[in-house]
Amino acid sequence: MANEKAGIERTVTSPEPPALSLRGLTVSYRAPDRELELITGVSLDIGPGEIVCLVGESGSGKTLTGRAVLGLLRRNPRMRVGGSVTFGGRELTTLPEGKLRRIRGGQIGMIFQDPAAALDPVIRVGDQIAEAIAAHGAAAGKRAIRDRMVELLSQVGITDPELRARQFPHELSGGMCQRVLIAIALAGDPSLLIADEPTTALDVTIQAQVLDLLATLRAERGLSILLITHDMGIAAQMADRVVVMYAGALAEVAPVTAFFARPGHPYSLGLVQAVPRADAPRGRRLPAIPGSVPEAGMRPPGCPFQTRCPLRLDLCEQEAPPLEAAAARHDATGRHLVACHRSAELLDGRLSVWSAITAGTS
Amino acid sequence: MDGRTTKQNEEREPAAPAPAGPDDAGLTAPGVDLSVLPLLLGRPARLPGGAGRRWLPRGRVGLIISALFLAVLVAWAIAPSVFGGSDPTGINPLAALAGPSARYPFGTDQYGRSIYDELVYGTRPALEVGVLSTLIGGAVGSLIGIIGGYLGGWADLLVMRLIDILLALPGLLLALIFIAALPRTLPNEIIAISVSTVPIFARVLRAQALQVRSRLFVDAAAVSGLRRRTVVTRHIIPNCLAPAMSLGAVYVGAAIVIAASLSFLGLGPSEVVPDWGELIQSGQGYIDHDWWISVFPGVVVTLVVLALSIIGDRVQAGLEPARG
Repeated sequence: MANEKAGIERTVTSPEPPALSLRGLTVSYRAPDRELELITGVSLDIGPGEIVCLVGESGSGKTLTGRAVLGLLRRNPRMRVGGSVTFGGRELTTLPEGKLRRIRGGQIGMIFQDPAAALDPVIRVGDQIAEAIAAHGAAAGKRAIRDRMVELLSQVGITDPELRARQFPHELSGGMCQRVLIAIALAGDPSLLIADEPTTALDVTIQAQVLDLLATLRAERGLSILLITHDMGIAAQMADRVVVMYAGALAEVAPVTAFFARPGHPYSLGLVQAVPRADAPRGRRLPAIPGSVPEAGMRPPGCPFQTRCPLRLDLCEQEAPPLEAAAARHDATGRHLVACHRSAELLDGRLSVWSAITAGTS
Repeated sequence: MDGRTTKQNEEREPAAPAPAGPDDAGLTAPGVDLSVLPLLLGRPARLPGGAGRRWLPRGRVGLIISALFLAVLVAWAIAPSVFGGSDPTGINPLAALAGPSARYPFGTDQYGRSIYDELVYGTRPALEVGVLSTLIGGAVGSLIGIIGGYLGGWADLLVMRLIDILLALPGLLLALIFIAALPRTLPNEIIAISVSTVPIFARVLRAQALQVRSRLFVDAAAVSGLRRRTVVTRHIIPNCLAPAMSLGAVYVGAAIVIAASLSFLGLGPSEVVPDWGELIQSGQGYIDHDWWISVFPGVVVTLVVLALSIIGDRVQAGLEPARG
């Protein structure tokens, strides 16, 4: 673990100084009988104006990572966050609640998977936005706050904002609710947005609109976005970099083109190949990764993916592979990081993994 | 639907299942209305949110009848002299123990006082006790419950164990303990009954606060940078109000019953004359021949509780969608 962290600090840096930087972030849960490590050392940078997609199955720790950044786990006395989260030169994990409050919404906004549930059902949406504006002193006086609220609503593409502001969440569609949430997240003019599966609860058309909105906000405001998703299609469309998480640890970090062209981790490869492709031969079954993410506390020693990995070696059971830069012949920039003992073989194209498995099972 | 419910209540055959209707409305408690019993002991028939109380008339009819009945009571309370004559306590030995008649709709007691007039004049103090003690006890209990539920931790644990101790005592007994230690005045009675309402409100609102606290919009409010105080006052409390309101409606009835019970036991406020509970008590010795002295006041108290239950139920049903 120690050399894993050291390895990252040397190699993972965006060209510009990062907006958000995680170093060896751990989250553990104190169960009655033991301590469970839910996240085991995540190190990651997000540059200004960069969109980083955090992908992985349910239970891999994506959401938890996002919540840990904003200190949302603090209120749970059983949760303990370790490592370091720095944002704008400040360490967030130890920041007092009062100062962290100003960062929440003021510098880091967050939107959620279920927009309808993230809005208070008994308060008009306009008032909920106004509340967030007032909390950051982004405008003072009733009139100014109102104007700003209407301005935010039109910025997130809501037509007839004056009318919508007077409505309650249940009167709005899911896509509309998500736009309102984005407006709330933008109320304090943050420079980073954490979007936790923002489109999972929306239908495909609305999903595309919301993603477009996020891309526009990035382009217009230079907003950095940590986009948490399990949809590889969204990652391909939106990401500058893709970060794959598995069982509470990073499996791979790569620029988006390199990632989809040639993933260096068997898990990433499984995720990429599980996406249906228009150019794939007809009649072929999509490969699937058998099994599911091991629960915290049930994770094997060594590589966490070994229980489901078709390329497992004896070495994998003994030693967890560090997250290391791929060899220069695959990536000269040093920005493609993989945590796998066999990544070199995979990147060389010497192994064909998931198709072989499918042939065997079907 | 209402007609069927009434018929089943008249059958008084708890053992035989009533003829099966399209649904089982009214089958839960045929015969005597037993679910008022727990109310007498200071517990509502059920807490808001559960299932049951299907025997009440559903829909608007029950609600309208209840509201009309309560409107009459409120009118009595506001202007007793308009409805109940000028002198409810005036003695008229010549008319003692007269049965119900046009002159004395609910009959007279052993001193010739009109039961109807006494009932009308007793409405104001009864409603005062019911509403004020529920408001005071409900507000204090709700606040304790919401704060405990939101903050959690050892303070919550401590307060809730105290509440558990109070809950172990029936509401009437709790009020009795307090009234026994205080001078018997109306304000003291209100305080005593308030105290007996605190634990149940604390318990229900704590559960509600726990549930609201875990909802996503509370996290969302926190990540938008709101102060904790703002999160509690703007988001937690408003979302806890629905059960408090229906519990409140039910508890006004319960408080009236407790007040009447205290008076029945001779522990009512001494300055309140006439008093519903005292009326019921005063007819006790005559119940075999001159039943009207106790029965009419008893029926009015029962109907108040029923009407408030129905309204509480409808309030709950009406507010549920908003709680989504």
